[in-house]
Amino acid sequence: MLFRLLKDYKMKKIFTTIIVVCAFATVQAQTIKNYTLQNIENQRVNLHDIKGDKLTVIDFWTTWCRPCKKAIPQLNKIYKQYKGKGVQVIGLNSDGPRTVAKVPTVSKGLQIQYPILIDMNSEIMNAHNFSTFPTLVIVDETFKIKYIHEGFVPGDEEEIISAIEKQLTK
Amino acid sequence: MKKLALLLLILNLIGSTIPLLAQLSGQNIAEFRYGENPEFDDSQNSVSIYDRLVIDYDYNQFKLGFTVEQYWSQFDERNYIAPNQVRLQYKSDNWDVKLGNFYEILGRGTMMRAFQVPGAVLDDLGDKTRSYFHRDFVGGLVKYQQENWSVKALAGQPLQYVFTPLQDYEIRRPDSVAVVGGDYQLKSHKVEYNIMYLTNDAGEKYYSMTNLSGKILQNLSYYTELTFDHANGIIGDNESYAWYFNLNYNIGALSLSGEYKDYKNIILGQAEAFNEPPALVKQHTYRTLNRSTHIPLPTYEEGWQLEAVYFFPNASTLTFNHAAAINQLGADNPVFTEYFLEYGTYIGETLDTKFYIDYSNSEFNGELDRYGIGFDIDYALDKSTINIEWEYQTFERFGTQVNNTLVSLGYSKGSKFSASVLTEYSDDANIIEESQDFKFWVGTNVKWKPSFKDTFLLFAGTRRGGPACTSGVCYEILDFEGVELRYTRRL
Repeated sequence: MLFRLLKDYKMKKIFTTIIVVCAFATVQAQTIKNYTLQNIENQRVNLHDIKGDKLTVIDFWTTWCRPCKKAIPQLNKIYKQYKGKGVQVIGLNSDGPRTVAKVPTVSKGLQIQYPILIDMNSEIMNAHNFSTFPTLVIVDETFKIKYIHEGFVPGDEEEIISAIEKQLTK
Repeated sequence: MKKLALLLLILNLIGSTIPLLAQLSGQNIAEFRYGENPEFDDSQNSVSIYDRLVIDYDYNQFKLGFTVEQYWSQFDERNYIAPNQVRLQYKSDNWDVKLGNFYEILGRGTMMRAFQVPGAVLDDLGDKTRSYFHRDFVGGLVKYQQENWSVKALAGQPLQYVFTPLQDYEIRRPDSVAVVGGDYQLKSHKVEYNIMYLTNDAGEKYYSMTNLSGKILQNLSYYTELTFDHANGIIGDNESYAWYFNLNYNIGALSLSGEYKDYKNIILGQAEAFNEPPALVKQHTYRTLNRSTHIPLPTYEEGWQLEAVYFFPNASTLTFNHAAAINQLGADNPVFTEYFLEYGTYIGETLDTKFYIDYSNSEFNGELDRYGIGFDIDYALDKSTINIEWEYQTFERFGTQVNNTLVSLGYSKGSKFSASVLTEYSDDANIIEESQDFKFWVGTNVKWKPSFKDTFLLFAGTRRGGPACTSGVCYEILDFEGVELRYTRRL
């Protein structure tokens, strides 16, 4: 059946595309551009204005995502542990209009210590083709992406800390 | 296709030559299927391939990108290859200029919302094909912002997302809109205003949208939004408006939020709406509850949602949610109500548990006394987790009792690997065959992520369809029986 499909419907075109793209596309480190977003205090904040001196950990999360809420207490600990070492943590919330009303209450209830910015249009997620919640990104002082981690299960915080340490020692 | 490959190669060579100046990025989703959609009477033992390639090329403040979507099966009439999106963006600290296809939301979406649901590929019952779930806007946008204010203008045509790329451009994008607006921030308060000119085969219309948000007290914040049709206004027999209001309050470990909606004849668009007023119904992560969600009818809907969450010092949480919606359909006023209670707690350092109970009535769907109960337990082992979920739902539909049960058993090792078996049972007469007393679904899901660039998802078995809501948008998933392999490659 698959052979027939390949023969009859020029499926090789698809494979040509995929193979060419995957084999030849060399990834350059992507940079997250500056965006002006509202924080949960309803103030406009420039993303680049609140960066860390050395690294910034950006956590893309939503209120309806269970792994996101599991990750937040661990990110609070990371924030406390590294804020004196030039590392900032930013929670980039991507709740849509249906659930965005709950962002301030959930943020305060979970006692999130680090800044929360709201990107209701998922503009930054879309710009970098992130499709999983949570997605955690570590960027350097120029907002060049150094590390990406998708999803969260208990124990992942060790991997994230290890990535921060690795970047700090570079 | 050869031209596309050549273009990619050239872009890549440029990117490699001047890596500090430019960057190439993108994503490819390839999905292989063998099996059948039971709703498609002729798709037994069919093979299909869906592919979506997104490529973006960054150079300083500029970004150029395109998306190619394709679907291939043994049915010629369902196949397509569509260069679906082309985009050019200039973005600096003050300016944001977009040309081509883009996503944009105005306020909370009562006037316009263009979006995509990342990773969602839909089966289309009409064209019997598959396409990405997105509703973009093609045209242009110019935004200029300063510290306390911004202005924007956009013009173009929103996509009617129910139509697949097999349909003509005019059918997929029957509306043309132009919007001019701006916002101003004063301390913690913000006001925004947009005016829209809409034209389609039905004629011309003007709409206005205003929203106001801010903090009244340290722990009390508000948001309100009003969109209305200039010709019909907000009072009278032909009233046409959407009003949304939200209050949030925190006191210690208790968080409260209240929302109110009042939608009258506010569907913007000729075929389907390109606006998306907030639903004000909890978006459940539990599958049986998510499937039973209420979908708003902006022709006439009034309602509210209240939620209270208490965060205990030991990281336990207690959530209570109540939602209500009243529709008007001719002489009928069907009412939807829901009460949801969830308790989540940690037992020791290894057990993460959640229990819920839910009671709802959906007169619109004829589903009364809908009870739901269930739990979700994670048991943490050394660097791996075992997950058990159980859900049970029962309700009465036109004098017949319906029962739905779901059991899932999963194992995950970090975020790199997970596997689960999902079984569902239903005796719902709307789903089962006449000769059956019940229906049973068994599906296996395996996820393997060898690196952050590569993700493999394998499904094998039978999958139950029905409404699903994610990212605040609800859509229909069709039943599927067979094997499905998805490979996502980040470029």
